[in-house]
Amino acid sequence: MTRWGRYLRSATGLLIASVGCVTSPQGGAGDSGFALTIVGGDHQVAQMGQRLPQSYIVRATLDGDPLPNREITWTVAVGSGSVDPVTSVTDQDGLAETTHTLGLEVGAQEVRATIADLAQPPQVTFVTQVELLPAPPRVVSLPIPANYGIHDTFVRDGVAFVSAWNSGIIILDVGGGGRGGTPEAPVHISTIVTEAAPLQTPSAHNAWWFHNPVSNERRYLFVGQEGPGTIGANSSGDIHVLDVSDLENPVEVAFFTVPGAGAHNFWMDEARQVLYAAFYNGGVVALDVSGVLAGDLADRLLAQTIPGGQGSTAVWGVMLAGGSLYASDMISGLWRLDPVSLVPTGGGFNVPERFGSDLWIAGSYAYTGTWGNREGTLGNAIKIWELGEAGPALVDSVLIPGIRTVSDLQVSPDGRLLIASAEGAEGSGIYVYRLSEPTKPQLAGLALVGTGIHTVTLAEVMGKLYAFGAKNPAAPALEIYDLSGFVP
Amino acid sequence: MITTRLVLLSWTATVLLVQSVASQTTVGWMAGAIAVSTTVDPIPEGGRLTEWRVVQPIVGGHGGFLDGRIWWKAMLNFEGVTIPSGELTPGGFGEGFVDRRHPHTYAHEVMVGTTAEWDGGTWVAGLAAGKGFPAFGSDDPMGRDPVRFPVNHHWAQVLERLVILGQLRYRQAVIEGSLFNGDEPESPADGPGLDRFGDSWSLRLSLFPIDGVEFQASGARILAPEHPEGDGHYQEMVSVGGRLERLIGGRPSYLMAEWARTSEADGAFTFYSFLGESATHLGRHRLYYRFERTDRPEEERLSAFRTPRPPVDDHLIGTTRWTIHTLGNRFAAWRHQNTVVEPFVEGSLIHVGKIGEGVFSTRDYYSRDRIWSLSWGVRIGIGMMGHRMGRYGSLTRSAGSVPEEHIHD
Repeated sequence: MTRWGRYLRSATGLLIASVGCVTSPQGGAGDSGFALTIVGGDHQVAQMGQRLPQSYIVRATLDGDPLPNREITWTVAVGSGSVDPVTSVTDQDGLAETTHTLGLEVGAQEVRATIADLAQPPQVTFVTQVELLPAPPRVVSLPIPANYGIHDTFVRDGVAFVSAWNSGIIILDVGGGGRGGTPEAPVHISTIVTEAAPLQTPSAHNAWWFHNPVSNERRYLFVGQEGPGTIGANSSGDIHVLDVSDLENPVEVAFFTVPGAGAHNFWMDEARQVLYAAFYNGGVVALDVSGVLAGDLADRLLAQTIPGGQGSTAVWGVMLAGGSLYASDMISGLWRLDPVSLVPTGGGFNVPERFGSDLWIAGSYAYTGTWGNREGTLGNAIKIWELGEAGPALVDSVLIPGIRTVSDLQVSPDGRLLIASAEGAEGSGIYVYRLSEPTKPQLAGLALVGTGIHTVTLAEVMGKLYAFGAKNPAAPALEIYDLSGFVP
Repeated sequence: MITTRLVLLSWTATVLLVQSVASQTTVGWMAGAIAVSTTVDPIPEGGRLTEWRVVQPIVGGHGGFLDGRIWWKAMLNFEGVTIPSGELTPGGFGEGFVDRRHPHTYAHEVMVGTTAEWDGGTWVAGLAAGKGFPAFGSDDPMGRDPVRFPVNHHWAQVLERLVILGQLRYRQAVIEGSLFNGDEPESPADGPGLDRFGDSWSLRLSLFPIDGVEFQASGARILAPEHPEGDGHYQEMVSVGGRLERLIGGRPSYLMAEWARTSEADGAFTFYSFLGESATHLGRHRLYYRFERTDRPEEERLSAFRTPRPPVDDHLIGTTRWTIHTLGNRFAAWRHQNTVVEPFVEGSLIHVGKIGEGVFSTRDYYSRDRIWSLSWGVRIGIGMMGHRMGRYGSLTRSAGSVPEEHIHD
């Protein structure tokens, strides 16, 4: 085509645009001869935050003939949702598609498709009507002292151990503590401020109440202390061991230190009496916690691994499942480890675009959260993994619009619900997904919490499923939600 | 509660003004504002942004009563109205803002004090109280040449606290000590935490060897500035600096250099800053230059320009080192009595480097490690000449400002 011919086409496009014919819900024409039409996916009705079940599909043509190998740009025009991919290339039939994860606005949300690299690109707009999601009912909001607030809650047998940073461990009867407490009306049993040493502050971050099947004791509570540090470089904080035989009078009895590293989340092989602890840059440690625990537990160390290597390891959490230990490393991704030696047996360096956060294993699937900002990509995704012989294999992701971190996640005991806590922007809160298809979580409920939920813990209490959320400062609280409405 | 504190402070300022006028003692007042357009490229998360804002809108005064035995000094700042979301300032941080300079509180400074002399003025003792500047570090950047605030604002000054300050001067040396609340403001309308008063302290030694030249060395121990409840770690701060403001070669000239160090959480985090700045007059132009190299903690962000306050934990994601050259010129376009209108233009070239380990990556946030900013606009000042905030009692005698008649040819 000559230069004048191109000018003529552009002028024609401008003329068409000037009379308002460029965009319509069904199709659009731009540079003369180029056209874009909607083939599928328009006018869906869904609930906010959902990934739409049907892809948006367009057909690009030139003078009525399919236009292959042209880039289509997808832009969210209305709403805070996202599209994946943001560009796609037409096939031999001129077809291209994307999927839309809806934002959190009720009403019409729109996505615009255009043919890239044209002066007057034709465009079409997909419109989806968005309905409100049901919010899980909050049954109580229990204020926590504002000393950094609440970081995690461990619930077992109707007793909740709230890790409240410098306020220590707050022990609550939420239905099984014998004080008449319920999730709707927790009853305070006791509070113990754990030792600050070797740091300046107790910084109680997480806990695990050890039910020892060998001794039949419920004696020890392991507490993770999360001290000052720079993620990816160094961290600080011990494991503190409390004797909670008498819940009203807990006593600190032992500690464990990893020099230059600090404790984060725990898991236990209770039958083997082994405590697994994530230690950020210190990797993963396995401790023998059999028998009586007292003083420095340095000689109880069974194994330690730094799966990503020095400088590329910041392990957030661990979980034992199916005979393997899995570790979620913020930097180097999801690992499978031998539970005895802690030697990596699979995975690793498998989430390069985002920092990782928490993990949960359910059957042959794993779910991991993401965190912060890595190479400009926010931690707004839940990664879905299939656990095979070779280790974890990424099969899909769920994006959550309007957040910057998926800080915690857990699957319900029956495997039907996935729950996630989110922080960082207007979408902060608690997300409830149905796992009818384990690789396709469907958003079923959402409780928005302005300052964010730092962690969420699922527990069955008195026959009902509850979520225990740690609401961030400035007004920190233990927020308990009744999830029984989401259980089929 | 916040409103009550604000009303009390405003009431105090009003009473002081009325008292001074009624007792016919010296009263001075001032007002000013800067209308500025700032362009920054790149901003956090990439791209270029230009904003028009009115910054540093202030009304203030000073005076005395009881035959001058009692002095007062007050300044109201209306940035809470004009820049509630802060001012574009690459590198700036503090009070939950990042790469934006936070708005100051409405009651920026409301101080009352007294001084007493002995031995013909060889010895001077002073006591001051109110909301203002503890004895630490250098002058408030608002009273200095560049419109752009330095990155080290929270390492080199402590301000907007409920403070009691004692002074003792012997000839050309002044030692000061102050007690104050450690928590920094949470919003422009926030008053100082009364329940936190006394949890933090500072000391400063100032020397004035010749007229217009001064040196200072100071230290402070501040409890949990980012946590209103006071639960958190101490910041241990050191600052040394020198300042010259006098005629050099017949031109009013200004030089300042400072070094500061802040250590937090028992040494878990340490940040350094060096800053030097100078200014001189060429006709009706005032040319100025600042060099700064300051370490900044990098925290996880809530958005491109905000970090959580209070923080939920004690983690950083890294430390950056900001090296900034700022060059500017302001032009006294119109002057009448004590009012001056000055168009200005000011540019900064910035390099962001990462020091130490951590997951923070400059490219994650800025797309590259070199940033530029350009500001232009107009300053309007009434009665502002030589005003230095945070200097009380006998320190005002050594302000070192160049006499007004020398400012313009």
